Amino acid sequence: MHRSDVVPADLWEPGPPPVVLAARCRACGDVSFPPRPYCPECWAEAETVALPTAGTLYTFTTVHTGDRAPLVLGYADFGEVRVLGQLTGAPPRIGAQVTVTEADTGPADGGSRRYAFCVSEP
Amino acid sequence: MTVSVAYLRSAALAPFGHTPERDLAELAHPPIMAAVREAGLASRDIDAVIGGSYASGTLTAQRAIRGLGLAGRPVLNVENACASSAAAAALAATLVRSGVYRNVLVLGIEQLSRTGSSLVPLNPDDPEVRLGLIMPAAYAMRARRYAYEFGTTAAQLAAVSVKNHANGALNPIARYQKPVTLEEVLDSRMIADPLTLLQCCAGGDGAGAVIISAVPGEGPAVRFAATAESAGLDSSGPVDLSRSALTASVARRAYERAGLGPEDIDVIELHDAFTIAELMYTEALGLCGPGEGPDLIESGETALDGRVAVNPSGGLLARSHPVGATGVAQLAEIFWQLRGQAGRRQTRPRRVGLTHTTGGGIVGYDHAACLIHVLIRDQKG
Repeated sequence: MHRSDVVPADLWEPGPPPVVLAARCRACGDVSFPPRPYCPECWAEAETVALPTAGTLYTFTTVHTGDRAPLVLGYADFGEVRVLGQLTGAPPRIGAQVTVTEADTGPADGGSRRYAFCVSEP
Repeated sequence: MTVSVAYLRSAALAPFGHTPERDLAELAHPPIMAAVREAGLASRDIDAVIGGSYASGTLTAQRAIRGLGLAGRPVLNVENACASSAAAAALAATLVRSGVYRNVLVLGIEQLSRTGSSLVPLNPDDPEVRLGLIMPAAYAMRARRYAYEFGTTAAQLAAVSVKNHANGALNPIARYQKPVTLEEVLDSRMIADPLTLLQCCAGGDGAGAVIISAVPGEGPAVRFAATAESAGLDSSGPVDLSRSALTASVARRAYERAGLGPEDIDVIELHDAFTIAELMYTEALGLCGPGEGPDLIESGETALDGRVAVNPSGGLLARSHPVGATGVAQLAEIFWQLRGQAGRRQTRPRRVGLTHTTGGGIVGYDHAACLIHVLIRDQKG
């Protein structure tokens, strides 16, 4: 599996603070992820915007594939956009606040940086 | 000349299993030959071949028919992930209804054993795939959200696997023909929580063939009353993961075209890639309200001898899911159920059947493809 660039550079900015990037249409205002230069709804020009740094966890799972440590994934809502991220921090619970953070994927994944979502304590 | 009806004229399936040492043609020839013969046809009567396959290389239909004298006519390959052969059948039905072809051989072929992985291959450029998303994880997150909204228990999820493995035990072509208990399902290895191994379909190998024709063959005639298909929404707007809006919308269109409602369906083969999938899809197909999927299992309404048998074949969970072969396998089971030919899986006459297949695995989509066929056995005139 292609792992040298786990999260493409154009999806986030390390800041600080780290933020996930989205596109906002200059014409209709639709916000979409991943960001592209044009709006998926009306094809007008879109500008890259930063999503809020705080989001709400919508759902999650822990993936056990045997060849690596269990991976915790979840979708978090940042305003109108629902984004998948790897989870860190407290044990995940639906409705928990998450904060965008920067993480290292580790040597097995080529050591690249990526965004992740840190789950807040209850 | 426009013919307005397409018939499902014959169906044949190879046993589904794990056979990396066989080649594609070896796997495909027996069901192809059986389907053509049982349709009362010969190879010269086949006007076109349309094959559905996902990850078994290129030109899969051409490779599958090599050695059967079936080349030298239009041969087309359709890929729509898990809905590949359902989509191939939809295309064939449209072409027959429009009078373009009289008899189309539709194939569903897959040999995932040769990929070396038990996971359905996904697009490595997909940003969610790069983060580690695999299909079991995508459905596991649906299960977790569904349980959060409706209070569904682990046992209620696992009960889907118990039902479908029991049905699979009666299916000579199913990969898994052993019943499982609730405890065995819950105790099996965790894949992506809350989905354990026995709550996830296996890939593997399979091949099937159906003939779609302008005229029925011998025996009870089974016709396509409706087909509806769509890709899901391509949007980062919040996709409600506890329900399948795509299936609901495609189902509405199918029912409208067939002039029927969910209460008229006697037997269904739906896309139970994971236990949560059957719960969500029975709701999306209109068999019950949101969160009520478990009630259908508990009451026996969707049991093999229930009012509407769901996955009498054992579904993807027991038959397995060689991705491109599933659509044709679902059509074959409905064909046999409607004609009284489902052997030990036949519990009562069934007249109206439905197949439902969703092809997944692409970021931002509520599934890449959803295909629904409604089939009706005509009463003898």
